[in-house]
Amino acid sequence: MQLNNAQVVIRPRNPWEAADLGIHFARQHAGLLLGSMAILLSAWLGLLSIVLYDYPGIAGLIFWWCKPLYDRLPLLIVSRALFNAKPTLKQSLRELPQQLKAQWFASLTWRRFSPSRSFDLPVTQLEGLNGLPRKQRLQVLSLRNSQPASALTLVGFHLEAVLLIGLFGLLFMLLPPEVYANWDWRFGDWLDDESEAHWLDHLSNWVYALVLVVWEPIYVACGFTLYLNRRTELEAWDTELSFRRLTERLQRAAPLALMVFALLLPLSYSPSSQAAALCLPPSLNSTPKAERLLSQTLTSPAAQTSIQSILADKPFSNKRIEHELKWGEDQPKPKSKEERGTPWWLKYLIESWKHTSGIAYVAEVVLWLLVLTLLGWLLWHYRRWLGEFVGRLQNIQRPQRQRPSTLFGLELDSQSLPADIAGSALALWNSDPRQALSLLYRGLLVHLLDQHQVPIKSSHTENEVLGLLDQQQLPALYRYSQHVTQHWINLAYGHRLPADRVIQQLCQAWRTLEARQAGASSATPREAHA
Amino acid sequence: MTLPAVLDTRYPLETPEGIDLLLQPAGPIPRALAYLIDLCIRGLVMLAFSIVLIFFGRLGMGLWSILFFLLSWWYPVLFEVLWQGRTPGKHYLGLRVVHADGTPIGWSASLIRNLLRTVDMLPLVYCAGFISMLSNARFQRLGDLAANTLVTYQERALINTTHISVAPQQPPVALDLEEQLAILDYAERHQQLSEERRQELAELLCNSLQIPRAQAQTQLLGMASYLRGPQ
Amino acid sequence: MKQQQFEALRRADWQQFEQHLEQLEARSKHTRNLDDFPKRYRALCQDKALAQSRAYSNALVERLGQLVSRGHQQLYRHRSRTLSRVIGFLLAEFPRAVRREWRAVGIASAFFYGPALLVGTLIFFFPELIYSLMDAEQVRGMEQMYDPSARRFGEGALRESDSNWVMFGHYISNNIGIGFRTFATGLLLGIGSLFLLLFNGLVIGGVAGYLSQLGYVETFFGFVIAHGAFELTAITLAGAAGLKLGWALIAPGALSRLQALQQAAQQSMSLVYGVILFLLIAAFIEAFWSSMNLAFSTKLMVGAVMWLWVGAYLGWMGRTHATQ
Repeated sequence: MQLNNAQVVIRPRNPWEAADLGIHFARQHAGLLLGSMAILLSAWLGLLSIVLYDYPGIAGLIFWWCKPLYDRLPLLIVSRALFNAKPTLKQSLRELPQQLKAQWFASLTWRRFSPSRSFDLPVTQLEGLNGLPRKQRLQVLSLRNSQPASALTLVGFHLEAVLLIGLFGLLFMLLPPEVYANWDWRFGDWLDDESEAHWLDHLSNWVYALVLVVWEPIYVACGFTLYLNRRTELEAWDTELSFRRLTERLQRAAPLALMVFALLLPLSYSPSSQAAALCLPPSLNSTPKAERLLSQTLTSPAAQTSIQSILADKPFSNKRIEHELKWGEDQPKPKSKEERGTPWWLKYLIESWKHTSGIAYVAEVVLWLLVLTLLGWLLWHYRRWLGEFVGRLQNIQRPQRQRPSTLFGLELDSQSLPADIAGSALALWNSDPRQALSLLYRGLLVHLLDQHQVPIKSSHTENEVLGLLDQQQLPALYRYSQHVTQHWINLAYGHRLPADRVIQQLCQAWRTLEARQAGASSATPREAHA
Repeated sequence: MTLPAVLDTRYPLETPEGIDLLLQPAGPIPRALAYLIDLCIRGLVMLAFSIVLIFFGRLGMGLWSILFFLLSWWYPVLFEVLWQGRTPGKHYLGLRVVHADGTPIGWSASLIRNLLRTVDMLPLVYCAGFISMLSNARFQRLGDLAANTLVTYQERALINTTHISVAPQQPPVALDLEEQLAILDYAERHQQLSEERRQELAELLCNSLQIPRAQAQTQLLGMASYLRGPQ
Repeated sequence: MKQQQFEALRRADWQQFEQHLEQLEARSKHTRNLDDFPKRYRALCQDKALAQSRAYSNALVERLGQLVSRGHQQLYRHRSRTLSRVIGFLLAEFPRAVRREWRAVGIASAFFYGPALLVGTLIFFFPELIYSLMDAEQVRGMEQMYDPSARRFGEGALRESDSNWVMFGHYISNNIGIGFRTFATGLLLGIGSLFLLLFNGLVIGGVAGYLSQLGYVETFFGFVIAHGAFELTAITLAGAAGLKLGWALIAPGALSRLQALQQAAQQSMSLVYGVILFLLIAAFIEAFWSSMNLAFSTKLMVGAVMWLWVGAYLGWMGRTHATQ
């Protein structure tokens, strides 16, 4: 193990950051970690499910209880991968039995519920300490780190539950409610029907295994990076790393000394033991809610209608004497005298006043009025701004563009060009080479503007035109344009004549382009792939 | 984002002044704890108000539901925008919310990231948010992705530079920048190391710098003092 | 220059900068003399760069780095495009997406409204058919909900004025659940979406036919017409988005199936956002408007306005004036 090979930046971090590093690291090696974990867990749970088919609860309990043992596989991989010696899937599975043997009994019994399980694991598994030395070592290491380590386990426990509930929730959400509307959620009934109960319990065991496959490697990696961070802090690993580089540089002339850093990483496998987390088995019930809601909607309307029928049959006045005085004033006015003249909203107000408790109702009306006023005010206040936005949107969408009539002092009118550009250019070449090349270049620009709608403006330079063309994904045309532009620039500004051969090639290329364009416009426009 | 060859938890962000800001996105664990603290605070506030409002009957219930609405939707937004991107829980754990370009969070981003909490809570209890955080290189939940924000660590309390009371001494060889830094670093951190480890580290340089082993520590400190310059 | 000299020279400036920072961070009203803050910030940046390039100790560089970082937080503001994007989405992008996907929308509508009309008519004339759609208990519950002798209608028949928010939340989760299912099951080659559209169409049509036949026209249509404009449209749009996913799997064209699916998902996202928006509006109207005890004519009028508005919005909003 060489510190120089470390695959992470070694520097003292705050403990939370150290745990974050673990997540990053687990993500980087996700394939191997998840794959190996999936193999291990599915084999073990498969065995448990077959042997304990009739007792799925016990199978689940055993599976959950043995969690500290599974942690050793990700730790094996992570600790190697950190020093650039990532094992293959086969290697890691082959080495696993050896790792499992160490201190397995302690891990499964008195250390099962240690809150800093993943932080302690490297000490037992990688340093191979046991008994009193282990205890002392942990005391030194966890002087300031015990809080994050237990927080990690605590959050991990919740996260497992979250993922589990989430998975079930997802399955549940995909079922239409009509399917489970008639399900009986009482557990007693499930237990009566044994075959169904087994099926469901085994399913929940497997879902839990799926959650562990994802979360356990991350949990272990976080614990490991916490441990690393603590050692970096205590032993100034980063300083050591720099010192080693310094020595290496100074001694480079001398035979390269092999600096093996005696990190106590996976070298010794003494019996190890392990403490455990508070991870309780996930309880899977979103059940009581559903039943309660169901019974509510069925019974409460019935209750309501009976209440209402009583209220409707008898006049209200009989019910409460103190209310009668108040309503006696309000009621007759709108109903008897001005029934037609009263606006609907006033009637509604008064009706509602009677039905609901007064103050709450007034509060609600006032609130709504406030909200509506605020909304109206906002719209009014920002009307200009909104209007501008709509205008701008329309401007953006308007496809018409001003086509420049001249570029670089060249006339860009398709009428001013001869029909056979290449032929005219060749004919002109001997008498007036400048005219000939400008003809080609103008032809190209007109072609770009008319056939490909390249958004050329009069402010663009020749090279900017090329840049625009580059975005159009037309490689053949782009190459041709590069050549023409280059020679045109050389001739126009540098007064350097291209060779005769070049002009012939350019004319040839132009003709090919024209021919292809003609073919493309008659067939489907496939020019983009040409 | 392509992963760098060597993993780190911070990533540099160049400012217009040509300075690299080092942003350190915070992972799900401190964030979950911060959320828990905020949840407790909100719960306590609601409890206190319930005790008062219970005497107001139906009006009290109405006010209570309004208060509940305000607390659950506006608590994070108001705190984040008005208090340097922090809620009390985030402050306790040393976190803050910023835009992905390092600028402080504003109203629109904060609103988006907090409204989209509802999506992160899908299908139940923040499952989508957690999965998104675990699979994202910058620990962004879906709301963060939509609002393009990050939760980063705040600047921490600074390490006090320790005074070196050793006579300055010129290093025997020319040191490059990184090596000078390493020696200064050693001087600054040597008090936190155990005696054995101090000696062990110092001895690493004995051969190449031609220092006697017994004086390795003091000589290194002297070099650090030289590099730092006179008071 | 050695580190100690540098520190001695610049320390006062750093301390002052830190004081300014503290004032700014506390948002204190008494911030004065901050005009030179940007200048000081730039000077600090320079100091940090110098300290780094001259290999001053990590502690110093770190300290300066933190000051720079805090200064950056105070000096810079983010110019967000989100708001303009949201407005752009509302003003143009969403209705355009609906028009762009008119085929899928048409198919989804046909699968939704077609069976609804058919079954509604059938049940209006043969009411006993309703029992092949739902069981007796559900039918009874439904009758109670829209009984004209009740004072309030719909699922919230029981609630009082201050539980509107509860119903709002209930409608949201319920509606969004239906929308989500209709969209996501499109992954099953579109069959899931079609099935759910058909199923919902049957149930809604059946309920409408049955209640009209009972003579509950005023209560039922008065209740549903306003939010129905948004809710029913949203369901068909969700179905259309789902169909688009399914179609990408069935006929990916020149792309691979995965690519086609990604492309379709991207394109249908604007539909999905619009669906969520519509469902929120629907839930709001259902909770706060539909439950009000108003005259049938008022409700009918408002409902008609809603339908017209939805149609006009989806049909014409954001059209460019090609003729100009």
